[in-house]
Amino acid sequence: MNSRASSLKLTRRLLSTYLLFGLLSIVAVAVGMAALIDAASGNSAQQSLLARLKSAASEITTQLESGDEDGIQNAVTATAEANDLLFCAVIDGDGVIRAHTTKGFIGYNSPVSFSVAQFPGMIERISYLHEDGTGPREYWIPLRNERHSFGTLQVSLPAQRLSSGLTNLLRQNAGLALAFPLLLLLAGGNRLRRVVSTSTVIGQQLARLAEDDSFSLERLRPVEEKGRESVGWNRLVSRASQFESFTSLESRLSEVLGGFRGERFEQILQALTDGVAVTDESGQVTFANEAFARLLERPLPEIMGEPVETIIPQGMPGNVAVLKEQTAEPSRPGVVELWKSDDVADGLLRLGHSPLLSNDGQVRSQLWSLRDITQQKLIEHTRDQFVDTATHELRTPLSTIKACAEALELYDDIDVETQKHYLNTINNESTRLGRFVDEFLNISRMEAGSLTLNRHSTQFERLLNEVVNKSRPAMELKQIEFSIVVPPKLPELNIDKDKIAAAMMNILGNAEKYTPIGGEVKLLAELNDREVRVHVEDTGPGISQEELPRIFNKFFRSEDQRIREITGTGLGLSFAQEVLRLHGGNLTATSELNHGSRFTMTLPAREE
Amino acid sequence: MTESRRSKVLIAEDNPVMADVLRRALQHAGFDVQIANTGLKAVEACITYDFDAVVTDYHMPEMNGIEFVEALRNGDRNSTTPVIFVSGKGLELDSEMLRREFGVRAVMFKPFSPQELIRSLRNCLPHGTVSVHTSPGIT
Repeated sequence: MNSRASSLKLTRRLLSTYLLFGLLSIVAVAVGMAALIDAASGNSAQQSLLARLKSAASEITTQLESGDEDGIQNAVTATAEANDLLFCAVIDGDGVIRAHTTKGFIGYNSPVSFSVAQFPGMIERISYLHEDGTGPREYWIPLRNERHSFGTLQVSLPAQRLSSGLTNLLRQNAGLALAFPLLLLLAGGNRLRRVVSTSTVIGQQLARLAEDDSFSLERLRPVEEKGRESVGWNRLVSRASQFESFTSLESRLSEVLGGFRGERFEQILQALTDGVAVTDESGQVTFANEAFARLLERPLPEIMGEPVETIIPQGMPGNVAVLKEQTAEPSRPGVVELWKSDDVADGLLRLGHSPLLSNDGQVRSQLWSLRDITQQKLIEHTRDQFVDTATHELRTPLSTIKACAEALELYDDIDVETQKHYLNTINNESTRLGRFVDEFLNISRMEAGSLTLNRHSTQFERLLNEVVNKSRPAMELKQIEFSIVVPPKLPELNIDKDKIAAAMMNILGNAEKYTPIGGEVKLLAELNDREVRVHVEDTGPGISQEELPRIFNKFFRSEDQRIREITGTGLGLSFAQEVLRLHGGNLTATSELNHGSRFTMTLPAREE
Repeated sequence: MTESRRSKVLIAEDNPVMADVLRRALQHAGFDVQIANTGLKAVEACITYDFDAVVTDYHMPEMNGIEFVEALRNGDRNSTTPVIFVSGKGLELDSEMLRREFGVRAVMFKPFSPQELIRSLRNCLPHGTVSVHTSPGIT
C-alpha cells in the first residue's frame, strides 16, 4: 500500500515537473514569437520620427505663411538639431533653396527637386548606400496649408538610425525567444534529474539488499538530503546503523561475559567453602557447588533436580516445617537453622535463601547458601555457660563471706569454735575466689599464647605429697576414701612446680567435687624409663562417650544434670592439659558413665 | 505477750556454713527456723510442716530451687506460703517469671546481707504473725 502510494507520488511529481517546464517553454516561445511579429510590423521608431518631422513641417509652414525668413531658417536649424539630422532644407515651389542647415546653399537651386506638394504624404528616398547596406536616407515632406503650397521640406539622416533599432530588437527577441525556452528546458531537466537521482541511489541500495544476503545494514549509505524521501531514507539508515552497532556491541559483550560466566564464575563458586545452590521456579536445584553437597553429606549429582526440602537434614522434624513456612513468601529472604539432632554437637547448618529477580522483576528462582555453624554455636553456647558459671563462682563465695562477716559483727553470743569456723570459711572462700581469678588469668594467657613455664629441678615425690595433703581435707569432709599408691623412688623432674601442682589440684579437685559422699578416689603414680604417669580415678558419675572428646575444651561443661548441679568454670581441665602439653607430656581421660573416670597425666622423665 | 507464736521459716540451702549463718540471723530476729540442705529435703519438710515463709537457694543438689518451688505450689501444704528466692546466678534467672508463675515474693541475688533477707521476710509476712519480740520459755 505504502510503496504503491509513494511510487504514485513519485510519478505524479515527475509528471508535474515535466508539465510545468513544458508549459513554461510554450509560454516563452509564444512570448518570443509575439515580440518578433510586433518588431517586424511595428516599426515604431520610424513612425515617431515621421510624426516629429510632420509636426516640424507644419511649424515651418506657419513661418512660411508669415514670410519671416529668419524664423524659417531658425525652425529648420532647430528641427535638424532636435532630430540629429544630417541636413534639413526648405525648397520652394520653384526648386530654389529657401532655407538650409548650411546657410551657404540658400538661394541656389536644389540639385534634386521633386514637387510633392500635390501629394498628401511624404517621399522617402535613399540617396546613398554603403557596402553594409547603411547610408543616409532622405525624406521629402510637402509644406502647405489649406489654401497654399509653399514647397518641400528635405531632411536627411543616417539610415542605421532607423534600421538599427529595428534589427537589434529583432535579434534580441529572436535570441530570447530561443534561449529562454532552452534555459527552461535545461533547468527543468536538471530539476528532474535531481528528483530522480535520490530515488535511484535509494533504489540501488535496496536492490543490493535484496540480492546479497550478507549485505549488512551497516553498509547502507545516506543520500544527499533533497526532498522528504531523502530525509526519510537518511533517518532509516541512521536507525539501522545504530541498531547494527548496538547488536554487535551486545554480541561482543555477551561473548566476553559469557566466557566469564561460563568458566570463572563456576571456578569461584566451586572454590567457596560455603555451599551455594540455585533452585528454579518449581523449587528444584538447578545449580549447586561441591561445598553445598558436602555440607549436606550427599553426592553432588544426587541433589541436582531435587527440591531443597528433601535434601536438607531430616534429623529434626522442625527443619522442613520452618523452611516451608519461610519460603511460602518467595520474595522475602530468610535464614533457617538446620539441626541434625537436638544436640548442637551433632551439627548445625545455617541455610539462607534469597530471591533472584528475573528481567521482568519477578521472582523465578532462589539462591541458597549453606554454612556449617556447629563450631560457632558451640562456642556461643560454652561462652554463655561460662558467663553463667563465672557469675555463680564469684557470687557464691562472696555471699558466704558476707554472711559470715555480718554474723561475726552483729552477734555477740557466738561461741569461739563457731567464730573460728566462720573465719575459716571466710578464708577458704577468699582462696576460692583467688583461685578462680588465677584460673581465669591462666586461661587468658593460654589464649594469648603467653603461658610460660618457670622450670626448676623438683622432687616429684615431695610435690605429690603437697598436693595430696592439700586436697585431703575436702575428701575427708565428704567421707571419700582417698588412697595413694606411689612407687618407692620417684625421680627429680625439671618442671614448673607451681603449674604442675595447680594442674594436679584441678584433677584431684574434680575427683573430689564429682564423687558422691562416701565414694572413692585413687591416686596412682607409675614410672618407666621415659616417663612418669599419675592416674587419678574416681567413682563419680562418669563422662558419656559423646562428651569425652570435648571435656578439654575451654568452658566446656557437661550437660549431665549431676554435673551441672556442681559449680565449675569449665577451665580446669583445659588449663591442666595445656600445662602438661607445655612440659612435653599430656593429659588423657577414660571414663564409663555411672561408674567413674580415670585421668592420666604423663610427664617425660628428666633427660640425663 | 499478745503474740505467742513465732513465725516458722524454712531455709533450703546446701552450703552448711551459709545455712548456719542464716539460721543464727533469723533466730536472732525472732523466727523459728528449719534448714533443708537439698531440694528434696525441702519438699519433704513442706509436706510435713506448715511454714509462714520459705527461703530457697537456686543451686541445690537433687532438685534445684525452681523445681522445689514448683513442687511446693502444686502440693497441698504450703501451696500459698510466701517464697523468697536466693540466687548466685546472673542474668539467666528470670525473676519476673518466678514472680508471675510461682508467686515468688522476692528474688535476692548473692552476695546479700542476712539483714536484707530478714527485712524481705518481714515484708511478706502478714503483720500480725510477725513476732519480732521473742517470748522466752517457748521452744
